[in-house]
Amino acid sequence: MRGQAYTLEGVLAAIVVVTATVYGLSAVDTGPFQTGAQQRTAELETRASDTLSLAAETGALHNATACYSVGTPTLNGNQTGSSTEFESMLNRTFDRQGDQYNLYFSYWDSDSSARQTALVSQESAENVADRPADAAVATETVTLTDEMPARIGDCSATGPSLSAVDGYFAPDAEPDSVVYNVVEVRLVVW
Amino acid sequence: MVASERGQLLLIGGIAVAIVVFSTVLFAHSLAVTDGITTTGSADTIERSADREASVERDLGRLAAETRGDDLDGFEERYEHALRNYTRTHNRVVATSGGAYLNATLNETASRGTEVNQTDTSSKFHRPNPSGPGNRNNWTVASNVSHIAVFNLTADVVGGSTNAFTVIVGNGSGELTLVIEPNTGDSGNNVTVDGTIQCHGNGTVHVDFVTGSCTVGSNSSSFNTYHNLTPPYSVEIENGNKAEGRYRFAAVGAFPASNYASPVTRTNYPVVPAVDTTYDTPSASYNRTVLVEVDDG
Repeated sequence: MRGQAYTLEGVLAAIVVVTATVYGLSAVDTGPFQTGAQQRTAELETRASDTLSLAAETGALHNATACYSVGTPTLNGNQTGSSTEFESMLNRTFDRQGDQYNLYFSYWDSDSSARQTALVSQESAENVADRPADAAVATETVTLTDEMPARIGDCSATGPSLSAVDGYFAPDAEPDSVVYNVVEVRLVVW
Repeated sequence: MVASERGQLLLIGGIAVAIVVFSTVLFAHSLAVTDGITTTGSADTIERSADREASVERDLGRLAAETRGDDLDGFEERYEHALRNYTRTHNRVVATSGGAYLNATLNETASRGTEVNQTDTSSKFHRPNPSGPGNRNNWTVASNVSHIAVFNLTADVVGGSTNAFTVIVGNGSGELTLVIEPNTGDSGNNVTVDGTIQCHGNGTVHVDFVTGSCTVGSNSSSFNTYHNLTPPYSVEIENGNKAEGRYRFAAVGAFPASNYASPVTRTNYPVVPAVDTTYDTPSASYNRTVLVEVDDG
């Protein structure tokens, strides 16, 4: 009889402790531990990924990729005076929050080992080398076809087709096909 | 074993059971609220995969639109060729940096769409199957049409100012009515859309319903076509005996079997191509069959 009483007491005590613990834990985040830097990287990664996805959906990323200009490039990653829609998106999302980014356009060129062109958010050449190891990375691909018009002016007006433009950064990777090239846009933010 | 020891043993047992219950509750709770420790990586993988799929599907649609163009003939071969070149370049660029491998091939069996055409010889626009039901001059080309890839016709003989040759694209609440008839004032022909003459001239009549354009002889014009109607459509011909010519129609819809007979037969045509895609990445490997929406308008 005495043992049963002890048992009952123990079970009741356990229920109280468990209930209190579960109730207390519901008020806190039980997810995996992240340092402040990791949290910031994860948040930047989400923003970078969402920005690229949105730009791809609206066509702004395609226009930026197909953008062509003679002399000073229209799409230059400059923090101020950006006139292209994609750069405005980057400025609003990152520059105004004090975040830095690099933008890499990778493409296929069978005749050259240089298959990438880079843009930086500030006009400093060393920016490319300075990015920290915990920078967030997001990628999106843009497929270009022979008949697609190059984008001129603020990268929204249509120009001649890509296959007819001299000096465009990516060559025609598949000359006997409607496919012009595939450009991977890699956004690195920190 | 004395009674008190037995009680202590049961107490420890009770606590052990409580710990198990607590752990289960905690685990389930964290899964629902915080995505949990074990699902963080999976969620990222799923999100990346969804982004990649959306990007590839956009590309497949763009390639289909460009390879189809205005020419239905040989579309399958051209699209297959474009897919091979696309996946090769895609893999060269993307696989080297992210380890994502893509393969995409046209699945003609799973593709949706039917084509009928009377392009070899010019003849009347009446129902191809003479033994079908009802009046042969008034017939349904297709019903329940959700998507039209190509619909053009050429009339080189036009007759009958009354009960003229008419094509109707309707959806039950509205319709586009296009009439091809001789002009009463001269020897030319008219293309009248919803009561308004859109094209007039001498010679052969060409109409493209998808783009909304007509040409009579050397005179061309454009008109508001069926795109402001909500699908599904029915496509009907009235007084098909009042004109002679050629037509080509490819769409997703129901083509009544009793209306068609040689030489105008129903053939499969990938209006909405199905593409088998394979994604191979370090974190996920899977197959998808994608129905590609092609913007023909």
